[in-house]
Amino acid sequence: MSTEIPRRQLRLYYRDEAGDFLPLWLSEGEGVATWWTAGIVIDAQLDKAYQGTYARHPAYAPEDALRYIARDRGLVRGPNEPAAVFADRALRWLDDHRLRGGPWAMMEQLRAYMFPANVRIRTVDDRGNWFTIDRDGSRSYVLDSGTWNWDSPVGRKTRFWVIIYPDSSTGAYLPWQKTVWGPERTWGDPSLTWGTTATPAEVAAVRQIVRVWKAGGTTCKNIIIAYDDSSFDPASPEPDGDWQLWGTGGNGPRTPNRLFSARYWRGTGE
Amino acid sequence: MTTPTLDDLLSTSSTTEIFDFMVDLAGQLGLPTTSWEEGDVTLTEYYTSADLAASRDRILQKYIAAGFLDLIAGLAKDGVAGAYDWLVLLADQMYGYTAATATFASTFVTFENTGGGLYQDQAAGDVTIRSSTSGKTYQITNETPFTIGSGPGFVIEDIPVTADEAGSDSSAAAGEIDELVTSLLGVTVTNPSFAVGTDAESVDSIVQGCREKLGTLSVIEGPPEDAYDSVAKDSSLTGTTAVSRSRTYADSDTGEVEQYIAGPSGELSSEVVAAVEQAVVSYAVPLALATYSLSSAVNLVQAVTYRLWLYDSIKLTQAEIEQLVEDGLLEFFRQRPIGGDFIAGDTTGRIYTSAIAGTIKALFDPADFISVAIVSPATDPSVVKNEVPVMGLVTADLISFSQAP
Repeated sequence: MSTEIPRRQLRLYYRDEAGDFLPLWLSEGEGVATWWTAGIVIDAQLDKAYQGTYARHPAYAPEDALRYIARDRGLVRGPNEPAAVFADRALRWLDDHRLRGGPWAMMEQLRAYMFPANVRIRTVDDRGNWFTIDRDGSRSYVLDSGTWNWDSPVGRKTRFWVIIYPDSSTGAYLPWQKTVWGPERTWGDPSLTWGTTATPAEVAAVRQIVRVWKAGGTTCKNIIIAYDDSSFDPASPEPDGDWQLWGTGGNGPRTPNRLFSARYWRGTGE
Repeated sequence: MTTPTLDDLLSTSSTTEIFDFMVDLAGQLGLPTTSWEEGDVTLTEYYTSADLAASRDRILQKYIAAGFLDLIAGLAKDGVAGAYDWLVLLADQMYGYTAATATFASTFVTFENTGGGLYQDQAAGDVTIRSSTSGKTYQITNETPFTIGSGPGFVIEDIPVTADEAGSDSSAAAGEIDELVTSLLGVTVTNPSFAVGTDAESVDSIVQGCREKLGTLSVIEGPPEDAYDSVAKDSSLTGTTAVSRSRTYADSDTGEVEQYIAGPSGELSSEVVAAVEQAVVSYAVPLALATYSLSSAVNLVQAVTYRLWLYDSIKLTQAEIEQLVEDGLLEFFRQRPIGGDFIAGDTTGRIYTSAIAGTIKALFDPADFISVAIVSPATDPSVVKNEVPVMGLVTADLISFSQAP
């Protein structure tokens, strides 16, 4: 637990207080051991009730209670998120859920899931609305920029993309390294995914957060892990209308459409 | 001091375990426990204390579990006494979700006197009638006493009746309430229309309702999809308790939201759909973002044929076992989501035969159960997104009893 439970106060220990009321034969010699044995059971149950009451509160919950609290509050705890950090987030649950459906709440949930990695996250939609939470937590946005063209869509669309920029401040990318298949990786290993060190469970969790926290009537097309901090800049993003495929060129040598510096996860709709 | 885990806090001890602990501790404190014989005053006191403590432990378990939706729901599904009430309290106090209570089936009946007897001033509660189909009884609930005049041919209609027991077991189709318990010679009774009683909301339904409630918190235009489901099942908003299942398909690149609803028995009437649509449009559909459509789900009737192997220690007749399985599968199908169950990565919802088998298995004490096989459906049938699985004919292809070991 992240906070120590306050010690029970005042006249709450049977073994401490019952002595005032006992007859003489229970107050001396073997009598003390006799009632003390019964008293310890009573006190143990009082302690159990006391600690059990606190167990439901995030700040005081034991470690194995936090996953139940997470489910009850509609949150996903990050694999490396400490109990104290999650507890603070759990206390904000009502305020966060009030903003569910908007970009900021979803991005904050994703940042929390990836704690302690200091990531930057962006969302962009077909209309060219950009929302960014930077590594220092500052927020910025650009509305209706018209700069985003993933696949030259026909008609009005309600798609969006999530772009995650891993933290490279420690020299290694966090939370996930970029990878390529090679001798140290086994084809078909169920614990691995293409392109990053994210596990299938982590990818599923990220998709789950996006799906649950997005607005109804929208779809997340891709979750992009961008290893180049300068990529996908709102002023001049790279997608130029044919990024629905990795490459073009028919049966001959193919020309890459997408950046090699990024990884592209399926979003929520496919 | 080691901090207890939640598992520690939820564990219970039996009378014997607590008693043994006390005697052992007393011995360690220097008391001559080895010389105590049965009937000894201290042993008696310890046993009494241990028994009371074991009782308190079971209460504490529910009290602590009541802080967590999954845990108290688990105890309720296991039939732990009082756990369901704690779940209803948690749903109400933390989520603002009101669990539906069981309702009493009620309808109107017609009495016809084929004999010469005169039965005057029949007041509410004076006449008890019964369904020959279910065996359930009903009382007349008329505000003003009525008289069944001498016959033959005397008919009096529109007498209100209400079931003695709450719940769906007292539901009756037209004509099924057809027996008099109260002796009125020559008088017959029938119900021209059906009587519907509903059960108290199931544990799974309450839990799901609580989780979906979170979606309704959003003030953002374009609420999450579970806001639609929550509103559809909220009788305080829709005016109907008929909806027990809802599924919203809100992953769209054109701003479309499709929603399908169903009741415990599947398809819903156009009146119910209209009432729910009005509520969802009022409380969930946002401005300009999405196009919204609501329809009743279409029944996908699934028959089940099974083979069951049990030990003869079970002490139930074949008929009783078949009824038990049918009741269990009825509840299973009532919980199936519209569009079927999805395994992660699958794009088609299904009814999983393994889940059907698991449901049947869970009906029996493990000591009595050997095996179950699902003959039909042979594979996991697919469920289209607007279909709701409902139970069809349940057939026992084989129920075999083996000598208990």
